[in-house]
Amino acid sequence: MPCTRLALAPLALLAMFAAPPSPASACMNEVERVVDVTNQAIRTAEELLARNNYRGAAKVVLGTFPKVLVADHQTRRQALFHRGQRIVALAQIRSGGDIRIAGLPARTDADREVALAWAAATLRLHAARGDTSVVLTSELAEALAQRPAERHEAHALLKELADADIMPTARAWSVLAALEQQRGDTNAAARATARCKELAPDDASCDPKGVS
Amino acid sequence: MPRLAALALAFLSCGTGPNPPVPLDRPLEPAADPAQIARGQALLAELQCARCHDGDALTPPPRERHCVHCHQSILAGVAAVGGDFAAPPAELARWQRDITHLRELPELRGLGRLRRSFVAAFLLSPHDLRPGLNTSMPRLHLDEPSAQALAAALVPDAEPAPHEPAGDPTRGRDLLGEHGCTNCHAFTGVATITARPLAHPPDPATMLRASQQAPDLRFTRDRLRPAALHTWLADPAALKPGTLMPDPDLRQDEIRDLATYLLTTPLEPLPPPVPPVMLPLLDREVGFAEVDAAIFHKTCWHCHSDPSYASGDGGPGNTGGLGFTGASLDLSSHAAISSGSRGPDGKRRSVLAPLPDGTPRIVAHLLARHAELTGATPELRGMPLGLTPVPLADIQLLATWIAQGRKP
Repeated sequence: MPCTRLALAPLALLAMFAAPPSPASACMNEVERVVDVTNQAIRTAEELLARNNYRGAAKVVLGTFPKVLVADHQTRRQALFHRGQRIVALAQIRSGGDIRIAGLPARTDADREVALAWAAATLRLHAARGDTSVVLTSELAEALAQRPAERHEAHALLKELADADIMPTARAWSVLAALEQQRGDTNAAARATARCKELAPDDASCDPKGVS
Repeated sequence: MPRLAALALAFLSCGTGPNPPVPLDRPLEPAADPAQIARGQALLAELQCARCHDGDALTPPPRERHCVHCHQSILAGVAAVGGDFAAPPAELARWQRDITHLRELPELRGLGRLRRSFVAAFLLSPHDLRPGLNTSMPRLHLDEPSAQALAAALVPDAEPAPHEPAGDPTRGRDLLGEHGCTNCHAFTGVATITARPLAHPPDPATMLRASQQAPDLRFTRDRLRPAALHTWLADPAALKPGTLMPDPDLRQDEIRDLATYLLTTPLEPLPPPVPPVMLPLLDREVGFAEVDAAIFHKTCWHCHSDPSYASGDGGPGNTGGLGFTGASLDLSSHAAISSGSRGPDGKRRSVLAPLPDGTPRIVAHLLARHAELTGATPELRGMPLGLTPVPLADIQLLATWIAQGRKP
């Protein structure tokens, strides 16, 4: 009997890898969100990010995708891997490059600059891959707004979204308000700030001092 | 008048042999062109008809990609893959409670009984054929040649000439009630026919399914080939194995009477389309969570979801499917909804901003679905596609939320 069990063990292992449990994709939203642990982890990370818990968000992503810094890493859940990269990139941007992970030590100002550069490059890469998500565009603009040489581009990206009435978040309005302020257009800054506060009355990020 | 016609038919037939068949006011349909059939078969795959329908000419997708099979699996609490959905029992119970649509759809079998011209016209401009079913054929992205090719693939054979003599339509009308047909079938456009209970009723669940799928009989003359109607009434399962239509147990003369009534009785015209009337904006504050629960998460996100969380497939309305290229419209979160959709010019546009008449685009799509159900074909495609319209009170919530600044 033990011999039989031993003989069957490789088969059982093979079966595990040959037929991994996969969630329903037709009922893609609800079912996958509930039954797929990768899905759940990335959503948790996004919720942490939304609550400004940048380290917590990055930690959850790294626990799910340890190679999150590798641009062309291939995984079974590639879309969620990219989502994880975006979360870590935003965590870096919103913390000022202060998230310490392997490869991005965050000990010195130079380290933090590298982290911010990685974050902006990562978001730019996703945009260049053809992801036309407006949310991604606003995230890229948020990253570029942190880098003086790229603020003009950040402003152009957000202005286009605002003009088309497709600004996705209060934070995006806040970044635009700060950029307008820097450009000296106080009226436009006031309008963007007002819209930010209209969407998120209690959000301190609607203060246009966000971009330094 | 039908009684007079029947008397006249009876008088004419006296001593001169059987009545001629009910005359056709159109030529018989020839066999479909093979090239058109091939094009139609390709379109069946392209339009993903097998994601909703089962049928002989369709290759079924995996269960988890089949709207109806997936729902049926959840309702039965059994496997999508290898056992169950691995969802907590409370979640599974919630899904079972929430699934109201796409629990069952007509199977595309035995379609040789249908008129090819009806199939093409119906695909181009679907209407509420089955009043008991809360799902109807969606308005797909189809032009006339494509609709004709699909009809050719679904109904490739030539139409046989009707040979059964015409019967007594008055007797046919009586039979409809006596055999309990109108227990399941609506027959709009004629005086109400009171149905007797079925002699051999199926179990209640089957009866419910049958009444949901039963077509409105006013469409019989447009929908069925007359020769096939006789065969259908004689033995429905012979034409469509597994059909929910029971054998009505009719004699040949009764079949002739019933068929004649169905094909010839005068019909009152359908009421004209009625434009839906928006309810006024609410004077209380409406938050996103309320609108999301009532509309976006309840219905919309099934076809407009976030592809990252759905194995890259954002649904027909986002990344494409069912023949749609995808409007890049994700309705799964406030940020995504605020991001708008891609218009025909390829540029993104707000779905919350007003159209020239002042109605927000997304509201106009929801109202268009109400209009579709009254027989209209509005310029904007009605949403949700092929499903029960969003109640006007919920549209009122959405419009109020938009008017109040669409806060998260």
